[in-house]
Amino acid sequence: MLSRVADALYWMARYLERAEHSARVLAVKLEAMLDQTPDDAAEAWIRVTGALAWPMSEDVKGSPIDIAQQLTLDKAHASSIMTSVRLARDNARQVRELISTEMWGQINRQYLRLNASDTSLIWAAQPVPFLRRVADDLLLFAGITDSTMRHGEGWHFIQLGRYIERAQLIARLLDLHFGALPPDVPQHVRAPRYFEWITLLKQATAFEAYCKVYTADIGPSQIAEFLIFDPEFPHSIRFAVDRIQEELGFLGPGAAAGRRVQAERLAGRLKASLDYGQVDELMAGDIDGFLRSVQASCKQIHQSVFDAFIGYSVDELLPS
Amino acid sequence: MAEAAHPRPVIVSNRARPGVDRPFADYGLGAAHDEMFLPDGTPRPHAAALYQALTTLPGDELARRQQACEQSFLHQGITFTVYGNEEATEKIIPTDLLPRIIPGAEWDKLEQGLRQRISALNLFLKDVYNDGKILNDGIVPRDLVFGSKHYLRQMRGVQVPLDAYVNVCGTDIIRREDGSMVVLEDNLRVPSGVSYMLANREVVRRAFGDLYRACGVRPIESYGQDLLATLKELAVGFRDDPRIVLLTPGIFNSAYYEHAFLARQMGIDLVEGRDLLVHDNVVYMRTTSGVKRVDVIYRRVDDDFIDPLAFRHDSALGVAGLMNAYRAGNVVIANTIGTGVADDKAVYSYVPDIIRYYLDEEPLLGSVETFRCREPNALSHVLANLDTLVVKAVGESGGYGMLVGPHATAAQRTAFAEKVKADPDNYIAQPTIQLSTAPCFVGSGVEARHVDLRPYLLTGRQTRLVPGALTRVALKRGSLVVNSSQGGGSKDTWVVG
Amino acid sequence: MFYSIRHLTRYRYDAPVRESVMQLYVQPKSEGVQRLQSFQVSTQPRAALQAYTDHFGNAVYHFDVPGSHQELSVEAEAEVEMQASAAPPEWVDDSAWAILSDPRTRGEHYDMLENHGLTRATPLLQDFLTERGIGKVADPMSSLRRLNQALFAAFAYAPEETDVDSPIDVALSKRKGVCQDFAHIMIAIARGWGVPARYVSGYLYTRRDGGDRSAPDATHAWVEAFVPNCGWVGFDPTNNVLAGERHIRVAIGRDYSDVPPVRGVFKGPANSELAVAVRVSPAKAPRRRDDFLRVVRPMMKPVSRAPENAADEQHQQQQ
Repeated sequence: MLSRVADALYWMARYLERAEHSARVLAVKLEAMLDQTPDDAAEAWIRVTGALAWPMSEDVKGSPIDIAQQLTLDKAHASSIMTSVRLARDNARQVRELISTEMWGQINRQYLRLNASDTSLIWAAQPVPFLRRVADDLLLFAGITDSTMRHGEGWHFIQLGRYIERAQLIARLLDLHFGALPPDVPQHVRAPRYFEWITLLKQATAFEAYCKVYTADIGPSQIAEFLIFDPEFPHSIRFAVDRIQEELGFLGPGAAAGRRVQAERLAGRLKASLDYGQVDELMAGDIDGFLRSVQASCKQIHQSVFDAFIGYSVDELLPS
Repeated sequence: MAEAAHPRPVIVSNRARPGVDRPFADYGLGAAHDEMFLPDGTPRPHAAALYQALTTLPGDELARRQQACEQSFLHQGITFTVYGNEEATEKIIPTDLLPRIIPGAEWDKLEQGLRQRISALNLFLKDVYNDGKILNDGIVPRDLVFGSKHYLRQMRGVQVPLDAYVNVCGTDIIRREDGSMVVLEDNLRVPSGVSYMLANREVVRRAFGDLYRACGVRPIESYGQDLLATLKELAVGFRDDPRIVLLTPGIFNSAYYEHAFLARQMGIDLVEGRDLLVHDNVVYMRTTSGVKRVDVIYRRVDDDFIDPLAFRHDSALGVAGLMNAYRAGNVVIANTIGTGVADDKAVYSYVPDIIRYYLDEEPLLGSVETFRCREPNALSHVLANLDTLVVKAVGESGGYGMLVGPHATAAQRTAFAEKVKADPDNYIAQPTIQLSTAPCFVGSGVEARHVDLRPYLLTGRQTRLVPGALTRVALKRGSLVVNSSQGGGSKDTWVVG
Repeated sequence: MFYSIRHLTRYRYDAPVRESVMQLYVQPKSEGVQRLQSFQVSTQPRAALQAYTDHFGNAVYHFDVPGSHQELSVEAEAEVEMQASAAPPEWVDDSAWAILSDPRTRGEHYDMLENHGLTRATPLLQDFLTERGIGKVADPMSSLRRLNQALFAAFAYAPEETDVDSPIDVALSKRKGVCQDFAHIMIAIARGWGVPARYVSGYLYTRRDGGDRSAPDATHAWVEAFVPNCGWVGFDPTNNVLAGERHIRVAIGRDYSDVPPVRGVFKGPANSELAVAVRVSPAKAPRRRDDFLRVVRPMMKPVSRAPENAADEQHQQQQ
């Protein structure tokens, strides 16, 4: 597979995962506001901008609904849903001949709908259903991808992109709820309370799955255990890292084994820390440091995949 | 969308007359040959079935089908990109739902003419890049060839596989007032539009399924296979299973959709210049499994941009060293570099002589009478008759650098005359031909619009032509300009019987 | 007479680059009174040299360096034997003008008659001709000899004032320049008179004491004009001489851009600095890199892919 094409598929998946995550985080938060006092709500939006607009959270201002609108529709904001969908589609266009017609049709329709002239009116009338629809459309795309595209190398690059993005997004979201706040967000935010823990679970599509495991007994430690260590829940960090580790084995078939060693080593190390980690130790110790190391490891895996399969130096591969 | 969902129309006995009855109430029959109606307003035999369908469909049904077709194009991303002031927008090339119908016997004659023409043009290209006999014999003026900006000296003496210089040719054919089909332009560089031919067929067949079956339309779906077979034939002396790629300038190019479409149809990689590199005269592409050798490149990047070492040094779209690899015989490039010298509008006027010179045959297809402004007599004639002529810059295409005299204002004509006087060698003029008209669905009714015809001829070891073409439509009433960059549309072309 | 020539070209980049593809016009010709005795090119990083003969009959070498590198150098070494040739006549018969205007002659020499690239005539050139009273005289040979002298007199030799690929107007307005400028101007004038003229890239064994103005450590360029009954005659307007035993021919073209000694492209966001050194010696003199390498301005541009290329891509015509 062409390196550029693999790169485009990978980034398409990352942008789509990012858009889907944003849509859900915003929708859940907007809904939760109905049950909160205005002050609480405004303060808690710092967690949303910290999770979604980062590292440009300074650029998003105003009332919660203003913030939500910017993070949804602002074409100029690098982290808005609008921007993510556009970039995903640009990448999909790059590989138009490789993805299925159904996939292209879905992403293209979604892009056209977001860019339609009446979008902001539809948004203003009912922001939450709007965001739900966006998230549903993106889930649909993922389903179409899995059932219409050959599960060859390209599909594996899509999976890798999806889970590398997901692991980072969930780790970041948790980082804003556990331990000290990351240094790059305002520090005058109260520790999360009951409502916010529920919101967090819902933002990770985890509320129902969580209740099946822990009953409706909501506690930070269980939430951390579930969203970090659960091996079977698709939005847990461990689940995502397991997938990352598996997918690496499918990249660049026929390429010299040495080229994937670095990525595999990084992923293996990260996986081991999740396989053998204990939530009590984390809660008692440095959970921030752990969550940040997850994000850092994902970035390193990304870089080593790029170096091995996309932007490699050609000289040792050419006949001399 | 299937017609069966609607009650079978009752055939109306009193026929709908063009210019009088719905849906043809605004259908103008003028000086132009009409593809559907005889001058007296009765439908031509080969168009009778379509005529009948149009007269019997409920009024809003056509509009509904037209809309469904446009939606389908937009959603499939069958678009071209228009660059405006702020951001690029994607537009569909407007497609008219009504097929343009050509009788099989007429098509067969046209095909013979096209085959003859491409044989001669390939011989001409080989000659001007090698011995130059036709120039030495004074048949075509040397300066016309050597002075053309599309004549690339780097191609002199370069061995071209099978001597097939032009592998994909998209000739523009028009029908004159007297009904004869003539060549307006040979597009020998990187002709585009074939994806519209195929996409139009798909939507129109869906919209007029019964009619399609009833008419016995010749199929065109093998185009992708034919193109692939042609490209394979060119890989003479390469490995048995040569790696073939399509080289695109990228997603910003207005024909990108077509490049992706064709790559998918052929099952080959769609590559950009940055995916390729040349090492020791061999072309490689960068894959996730390392670098892989490339044997055949169907390129949709213009000559100027294809190799920054050999041509435009600032090009980021091409592959440095590609020309070296080609000269060394290690890669096939289709179309060959430098073919534009033969579709230059001034060379066009010599094509009948070119055919006689190389083939010793009379041209089967006519051309349009052409005044070469480089010749003083012609120049004064052109300047005196700007109001009736179409004047074109010789090296341009796509409807750029052109004046349609009868449709221009006096000021535009004066301004253009200055350009012609300043650089007469760069211009030719032709009489304004009333291109034939064909029925098009416009708003609520069916009206006549001017059309041309672009078949796609493939040449490798043999020459292949699917029985179909892109019919381009001048969407504005009365307009004679069909180029998509100038607001033209297209329609499906049915060769029947 | 034997000469040994050493021609070193070195690019340095301020950041690592990759996929350099280079093309060289550096091999002296072996024809007529000039015989090439030996020739070799070495590159750093090492690369396999490929070669072909271009459509003007010049030898072209090319190579590529795919991997990452921050310096690239090319060293060409040649030994050439130059035999004495009969000096061209002072003048030819004035019927030569008629031969030159014959369509057959013009057809045969089409490429060397057409205004092309850097040799395009300009209004400034016309002014210059009028001002200096330069025009055709009795026969082509006398006309060209006078032109050669007139250009020598009208222009000062001044490196760094123009670039190798400057249009003639730069030198015309400054009345200064180097060999490429003078050659391009002479070619433009000769072609304007209907005399086929071509650009010659090569080396000069410089004799400063003999009145040469050319810098001894650079490549040289001069002009060949087609004179009926004499064939191609070399004129060197830089030094006010006819090309002779000291002019070692490497390549001919319509202008500089047809036959630059070294040209290349690379990938990567870097600026390059070019250094060139040339030594032509009558004997095998000791050669040391340091005493003759000098830095000239950057002349190689990276091929980069930036968003603004969108315009480029769109610029291509649709057929």
